[in-house]
Amino acid sequence: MRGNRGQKSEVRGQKSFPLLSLFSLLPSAFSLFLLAACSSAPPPPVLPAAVAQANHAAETAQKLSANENWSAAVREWQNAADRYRLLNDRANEAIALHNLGQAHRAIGDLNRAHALLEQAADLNQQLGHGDEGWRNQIALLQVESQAKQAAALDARFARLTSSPPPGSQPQLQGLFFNELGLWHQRHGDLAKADEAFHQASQTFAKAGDRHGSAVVLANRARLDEAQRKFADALEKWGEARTRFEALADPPGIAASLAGEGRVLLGAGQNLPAAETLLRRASESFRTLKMNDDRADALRSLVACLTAQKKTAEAAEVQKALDAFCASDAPARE
Amino acid sequence: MPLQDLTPELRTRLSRVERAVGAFVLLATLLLLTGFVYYLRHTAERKGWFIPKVSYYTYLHTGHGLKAGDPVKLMGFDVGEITRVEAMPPFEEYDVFVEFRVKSPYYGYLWTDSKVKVAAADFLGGRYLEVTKGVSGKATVKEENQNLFLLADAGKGLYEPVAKQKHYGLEAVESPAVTDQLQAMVAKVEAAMPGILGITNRVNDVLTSATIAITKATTAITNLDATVLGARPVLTNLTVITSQLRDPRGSLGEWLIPTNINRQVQTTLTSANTTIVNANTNMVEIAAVLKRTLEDSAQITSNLNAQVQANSLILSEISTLVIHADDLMQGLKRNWLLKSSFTGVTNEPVKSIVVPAIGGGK
Repeated sequence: MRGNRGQKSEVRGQKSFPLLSLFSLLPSAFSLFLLAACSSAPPPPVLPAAVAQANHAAETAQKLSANENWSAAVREWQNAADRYRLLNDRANEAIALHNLGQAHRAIGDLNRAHALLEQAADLNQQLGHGDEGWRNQIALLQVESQAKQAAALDARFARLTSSPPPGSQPQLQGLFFNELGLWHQRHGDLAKADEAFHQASQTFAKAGDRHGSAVVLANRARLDEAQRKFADALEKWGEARTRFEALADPPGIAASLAGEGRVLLGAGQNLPAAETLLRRASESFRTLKMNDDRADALRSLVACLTAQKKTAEAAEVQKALDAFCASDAPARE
Repeated sequence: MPLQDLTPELRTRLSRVERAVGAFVLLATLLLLTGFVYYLRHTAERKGWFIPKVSYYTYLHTGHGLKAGDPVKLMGFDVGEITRVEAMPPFEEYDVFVEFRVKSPYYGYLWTDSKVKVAAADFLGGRYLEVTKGVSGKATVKEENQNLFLLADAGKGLYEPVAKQKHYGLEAVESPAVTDQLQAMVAKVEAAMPGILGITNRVNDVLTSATIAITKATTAITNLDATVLGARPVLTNLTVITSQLRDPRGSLGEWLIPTNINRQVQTTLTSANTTIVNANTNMVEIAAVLKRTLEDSAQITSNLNAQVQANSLILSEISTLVIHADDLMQGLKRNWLLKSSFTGVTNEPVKSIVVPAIGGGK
């Protein structure tokens, strides 16, 4: 009987304890809340003026690059690089030099771009920044490819393929494999190119890079086109165009339109549609100042018009193409 | 249920829990008491409860804009507060009794020649007391062995303990509130307006008279021209006239200025004289009115100057207010509860740009 009473009392004690402790906690909790609410963090440290100026120059340059205002971007990246050099901030100096090189590349000064990218690569190698160094190397591959420096490109690929980018950087891997695929394709090794593009596609998908995936798809379509697999190529170009349209990427859309037109022309199907696609692509390339691509599109358009026996129009486009090539040649020099 | 009814094991467990709860409650109570004591100490320091203070009083014509608890200033510092504002009985020389306390060490600045200035604090009728630093009088407070003595008789230099001599009277220099001064200024401007309007009316009359005079002068010149033209036959007839000079009816004066012309010349001269006299009178009146207007303007500018002098502290107080408001905002920006509301847009870190290339074209 005593035991039963004791058990009941224990149960009551257990019930009343949380209530009591809750009431006793209230003033303490309120005091703690007041103390915490009234406390304030120390003000954030103020950046030195020189650092703030350098960062500001780099941010401005980045915006100019994003807006493709290349001449202004060159000026600002140079400013940022100079400021970071004065501060001996070599990591940011390497980034500024890299982006300065990319801006020079965009305005067609490939030699200067190459030199700047090499400087950035050297700095990153000294600092042991592998990821940034890989970005420099990939940009150098693109510049050498664009400048048609085959020997330098081969030597660089021979050096880089022995130790590809680490698996922890799928985006870098995607960029590298994409360039590798293009290199193999240029050498006529289409099977290796297909394999490289497949790897690039997988790594871009792993990195969640939608633009990279769309680019690889376009390159695979071009590979199918080279292999005269027109049905596959047409399908891939269509899908690539859809992806570029979703990403609102004008160069990609123009390349896809040109690719679809070329494939239809190569397959000898629906030539009026091919003509329309090539005309639209040519106009887009003209607006984007992508002269080589525009010349290719115009050549395809001439062939398309000739195939349709529109000789007058073909002659007119050929004339425009000749005039364009004549005006573009001095600009390159 | 009594504790004795429990089993020893349960009793032990319960007593342990009760001890823990008791310790917690004790700790919480101690924390609360510590906080309260800290708050009390902080408040006492802020309000100067433990700082010695001395009472002063003054008499004013009005207690408008003053109330107990308002700060008393000395050289721009808050040195005390008003403790009492009361109306005096009727038929007294002064209307309002104002008592205020000045804390240590500022009462050391108050000498017998110190004044209590009542200055306008804002445009809403607020006023405040400002005591001035003594220059050549005697100190109103003397400290000896940590005891305060207040001046009881300035002539004899007699000091009494503060407990006995409750307060010391200072002379007041009272200026009306800003609103009252503005109202007075508006009233003066309003009173001056009829004079200004009168001037403009008189100037208008003078201009009208001048216009008429010019018109008349033009007519006179035209008539003179006609007269010159008409004088040509006179020259022609001069020989005839001179030949007739010996005739008693053809004397020179009568020939040169006939009777009707003489009458007209006299009338014209009389009118001209009257016009000049009127113009002179008008000019004198205009000059007098202009003098009055200039005096009014000088008074207005003098009032404005006095206004600016009286409110010299307003600008510094507004500046202080802005600085404090900025401090408050900076504090709020750093507060953990509110700082998320002030976070700005951060830029994406700068990185090396590489984009994949589509083959073929480039």
